Amino acid sequence: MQSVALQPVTMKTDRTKLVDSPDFQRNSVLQTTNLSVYYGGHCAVDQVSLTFPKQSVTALIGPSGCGKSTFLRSINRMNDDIDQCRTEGEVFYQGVDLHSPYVNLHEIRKQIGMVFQRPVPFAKSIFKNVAAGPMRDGVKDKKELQRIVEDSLKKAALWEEVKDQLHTSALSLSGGQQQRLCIARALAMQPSVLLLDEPASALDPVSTAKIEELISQLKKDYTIVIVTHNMQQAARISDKVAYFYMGRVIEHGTTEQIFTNPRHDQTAHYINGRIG
Amino acid sequence: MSAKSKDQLATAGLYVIVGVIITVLAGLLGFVFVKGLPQISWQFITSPPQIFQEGGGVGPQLFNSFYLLVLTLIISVPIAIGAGIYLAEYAKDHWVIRCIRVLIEVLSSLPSIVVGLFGFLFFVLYMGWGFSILSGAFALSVFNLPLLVRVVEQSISSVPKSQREAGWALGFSKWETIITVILPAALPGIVTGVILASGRVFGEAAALIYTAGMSTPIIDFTNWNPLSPTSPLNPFRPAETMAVHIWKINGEGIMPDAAAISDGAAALLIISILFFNFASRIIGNLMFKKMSAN
Repeated sequence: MQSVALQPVTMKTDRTKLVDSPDFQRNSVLQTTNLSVYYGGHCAVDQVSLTFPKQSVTALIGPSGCGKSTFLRSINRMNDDIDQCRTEGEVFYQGVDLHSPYVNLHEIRKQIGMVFQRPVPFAKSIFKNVAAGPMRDGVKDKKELQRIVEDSLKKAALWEEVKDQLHTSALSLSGGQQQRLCIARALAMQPSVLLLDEPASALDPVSTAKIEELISQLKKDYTIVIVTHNMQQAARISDKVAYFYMGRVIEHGTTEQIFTNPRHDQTAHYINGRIG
Repeated sequence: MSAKSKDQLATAGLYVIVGVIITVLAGLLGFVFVKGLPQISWQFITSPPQIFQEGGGVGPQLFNSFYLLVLTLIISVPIAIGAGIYLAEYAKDHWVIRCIRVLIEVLSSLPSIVVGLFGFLFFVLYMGWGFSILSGAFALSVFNLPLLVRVVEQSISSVPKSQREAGWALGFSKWETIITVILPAALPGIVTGVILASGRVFGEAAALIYTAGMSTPIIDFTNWNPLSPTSPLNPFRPAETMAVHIWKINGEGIMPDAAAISDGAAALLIISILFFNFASRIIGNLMFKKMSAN
């Protein structure tokens, strides 16, 4: 292994870039400057600069194919594994450019957790699903694992429902429970940022409500970025909203401002359901 | 003709085809069992064959068949899993890889007698292992690998991409994701593939005639030291399997009850394969349960 284990993320990048960056805010944990993503010749994300304040929920909205998921996936570098995908610009996480070659990719993904559109539990027990990450990091003590699993499941509001069946297969859970399990699995890595890619779009209304409630709870400890197609959801749970269209951020502001007084006609049209 | 009557005609046609297949299969199995089952007794299963007299058994042959199968699996399964992982997860679409895939196809359709002759030249003569269980196990591995590699590759590829991404998103490396996420999910498919391949290996005769040989030395089932020449576990002794034994006594058997022994051995072979299938399935399920739910 070339990369060194970094705690939290050490770096050899040029810090001056940070100081020059006009959008940099002291209270932001995550920030992108002129981030562009290309698939071959196609530009999926076009020079997006966004700042994500600590302990807040930022919703990325916009019609299908507008690049919001691609943008989200470039934050924890999930696009690295796609052929012919190229990224330009910077993603700063706690002052480190994540796209720098010196950054430890695995450490990044632990600190920036991700939850996908469809629940993807592993074909293991509930306990082992949550413990998979800590076990990989060398936590062997049973009591310690037990504590991490219980803690993560409680934070994900799943503990009461599964505490008596921790050793049954995770595949036996309902879709909504599986999704909360995936959130617990990400929380077990003790991240500071959570990236949620339409986490409730494959779930029924009751499960969706539970996930939304959970997100509002998690906001107290984590910085959350959520991609959603559901305008009501964005309005209910987010503090800030960024409207994407054709790979660009058309408008970015507080949720209240975007929903009550959008500056751009396009944003207003989308929110009112006339685009997409 | 209306859509409805076309539908009925097609359904009827399919039922006829299924009926024909089942009849042939049931007839074959029934014939083997009706002729063979009366020959099978504890004495038949455990005692060694007689050359000139009636009343011989197939004990050593039965043991040899299982022992060869186990050795073959020990050699071929790890290689197949490695190759399958490579082809499913690492191989890029490149002309070299395409060539390898074509070669695997060719290898899987190679007549088993050709594999046997290759084994004779390479393992028996060149490597100097003689007619031995080891030569036989390697020849069977050559015969077995293409199918196994294919099965492993397919079961790994059929694990959804989202599982890999979920592993990566937890900070797992590609290899950690394969070991902790992908392989457990692919295990049921791999076990089924190994069962299928085992059935083929268990019944194989042609590849063994020139590699494991057509004779079994006098072996002492109380001697389990693998280095001793009379031990059943000694991998350097020749070993005639059930399938080879059936082939041999039908051609040159001079015992008076050759036909009866051949019938009994055939039934025993089929029973063994059934037994092995069920056992593997149970083991596979247990493994999956253990990995999926402690």
